[in-house]
Amino acid sequence: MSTQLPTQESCDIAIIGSGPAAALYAARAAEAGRSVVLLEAGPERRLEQLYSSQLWARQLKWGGSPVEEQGNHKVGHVFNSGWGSGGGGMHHYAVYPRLQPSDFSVRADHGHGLDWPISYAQLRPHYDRVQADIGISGDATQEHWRPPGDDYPMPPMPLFAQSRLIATGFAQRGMHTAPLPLAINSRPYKGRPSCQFDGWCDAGCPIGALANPLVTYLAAATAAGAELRCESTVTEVIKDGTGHRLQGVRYRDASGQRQTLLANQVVLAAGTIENSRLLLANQLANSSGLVGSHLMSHPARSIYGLFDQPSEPTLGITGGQLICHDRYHPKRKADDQYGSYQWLIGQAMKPTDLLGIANTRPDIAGAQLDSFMREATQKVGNMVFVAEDIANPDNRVELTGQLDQHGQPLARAVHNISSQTQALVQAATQEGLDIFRAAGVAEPWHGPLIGMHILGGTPIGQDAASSVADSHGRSHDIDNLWIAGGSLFPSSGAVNPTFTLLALADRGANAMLTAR
Amino acid sequence: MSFTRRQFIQRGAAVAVAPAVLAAAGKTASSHANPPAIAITPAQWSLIEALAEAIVPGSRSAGLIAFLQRQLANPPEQALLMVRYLGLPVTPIAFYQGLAEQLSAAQDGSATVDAYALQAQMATDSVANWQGLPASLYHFVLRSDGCDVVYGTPAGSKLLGLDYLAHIAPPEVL
Ligand SMILES: Cc1cc2nc3c(=O)[nH]c(=O)nc-3n(C[C@H](O)[C@H](O)[C@H](O)COP(=O)(O)OP(=O)(O)OC[C@H]3O[C@@H](n4cnc5c(N)ncnc54)[C@H](O)[C@@H]3O)c2cc1C
Ligand code: SF4
Repeated sequence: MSTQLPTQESCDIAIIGSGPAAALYAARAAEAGRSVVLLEAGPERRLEQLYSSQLWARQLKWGGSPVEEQGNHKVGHVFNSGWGSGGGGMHHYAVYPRLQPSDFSVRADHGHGLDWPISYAQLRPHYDRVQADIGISGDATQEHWRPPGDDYPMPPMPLFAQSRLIATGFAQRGMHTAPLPLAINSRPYKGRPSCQFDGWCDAGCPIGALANPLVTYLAAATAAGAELRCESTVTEVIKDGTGHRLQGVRYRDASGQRQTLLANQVVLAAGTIENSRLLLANQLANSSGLVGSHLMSHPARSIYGLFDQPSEPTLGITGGQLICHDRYHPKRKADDQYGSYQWLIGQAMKPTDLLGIANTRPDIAGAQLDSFMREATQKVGNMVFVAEDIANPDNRVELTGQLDQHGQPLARAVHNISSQTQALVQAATQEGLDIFRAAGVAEPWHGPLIGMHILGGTPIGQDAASSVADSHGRSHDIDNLWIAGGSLFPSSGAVNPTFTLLALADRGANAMLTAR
Repeated sequence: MSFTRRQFIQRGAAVAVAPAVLAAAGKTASSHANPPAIAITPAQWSLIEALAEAIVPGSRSAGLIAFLQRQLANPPEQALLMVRYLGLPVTPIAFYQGLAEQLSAAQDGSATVDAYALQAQMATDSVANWQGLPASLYHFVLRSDGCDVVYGTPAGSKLLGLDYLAHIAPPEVL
């Protein structure tokens, strides 16, 4: 048994996690001259280990304590969460649309879910700043639905055959498509090279064309002196005598030793489920009783079809090539249907994996499988809708009776979608099949309804009675606790969340660095 | 395309497994425990191999069983298997042991098994007396692992006439 006493180091800012939100906080704080330590539960990721392989890509997924899942629309925690330096940013596809102004006032406007305590206009400068930092390619003019914002710093990505083919279906139905806004370089940007359109983004982009944290904010943070400690799992948050401030955190290091890190400010950016789990396990920041509540996940479903000509399905970007927001508004589409949805069009697909070509038709087996694979890898096309989820207090992260290897309670994620959302996704599915038919696909088909992105659990809001944190992500209860990531979202909108959570983190970091 | 199998697709690809079934299948509270020994007999591995070959022709010669054995010897969070990716709260070993037991039961003492007929029944959850996790879930996972070894490698891409276009070529897994 070791006789070494636990060390008690201190820093200005202790950050739990090293995903996109944590990395942005670390960069801003280190660049402002603060001493910063990021504690990351998973292993260190290095660009040279990002093998172009769907098999190896699985190592980037969640490898921490298991999360039990319940409900009619499970959040898919392992699939949807990262693990290791860069967090989910290492396998994310960098699709970066902005929320729409209407997403900020869904309760006031429609009586659903929760409102944001800020407007789009207040978040806009932070979107613009993040966009300039990391680089986004796209065509703002073509996105006629895009809310006000600076022009994209890079032109859009080129289109490959499947997107051109699918776009004819949208046009036939009088719908508009625009180049997908992507945090991927269409030309060299800030020392990072252009994309090579090989479709390996899901396995991580080792050349740094895609704005993963290792080549953006984490690189900036470490260059400015921040220290990243991997295989360091935070288990406890230490309160001071008043109960309104934290003294620091306790964590298990790579060898399982318990360590203490004292800090003036603590940033909790451990991903949606872990943010709630840590707060619940530590009975912290929960005077509202809302920690864990209003868990959300975008309902999403892919549409597939075989074209009668080559579609180049394995080329391009994993996230897609075109976007359509024609169905974002109105949010109330019929008496029994509520919510926005977007189409993301022309995802590059590899032969295998959960989202790969073989699993678009899991019913095909035996001798027919090989002929399907040979045809589909030349001629398949696909697109996916991403629909709004309604924030519901009964959808929540809660603790189970079981403990993990560190003695910490495990989490359960309960998530159901409402009948109005179910009606919405049925209509969207039908529309997708019709679009493919209009594009010339004789027999389109669709995949299962899945949960895409995990949001909510520590919603921001106006006051301590109705929310967990203020509009900057600062806990209403604990003065020096800053929460970051998708857990802060009071409503989900129907867009991929990372651009927004980075904009929120930028706003939060500014506030933290000027806070007393 | 008529989809009488849509229900199967929904069930297979989404992680829609009742918690009680998972508990029965050997739930783990720690993903870091060293993997225990794999209690699958050579005869059971042969059954798994035959079933996989019926689902994904070519998986036997591509080395699926050696791939599974090697991956199951890794800590769960490092396994490159579909079962880890789906986030089922069972260890990969418990998952494959469960399959082996059900296949032994389905064989029911007879010398041979019609693997193609069995896989078709598994896909539609119509295997008599099947216990534990749904047969269609096992079908989905085994099919995915089989596809991975046949089509998911640089050699598999070549077979399909595709340029692999790796940024960094992956280490061999077979
Ligand atoms: C396949 C896929 C594709 C995606 N594509 C897109 C996309 O195109 N566009 C988009 O906007 N979003 C996308 N996302 C979502 C995106 O990955 C997340 O929104 C983003 O990673 C969330 O960032 P975060 O910083 O809040 O948390 P995370 O990225 O989840 O990082 C949290 C980190 O905290 C660590 N951690 C957890 N618990 C502890 C602890 N107790 N102690 C220390 N560390 C801990 C974790 O290991 C992890 O590294 C995608 C996700 C997936 C899975
Ligand atoms: S397609 Fe582009 S962004 Fe994706 S991995 Fe290749 S170079 Fe990187």
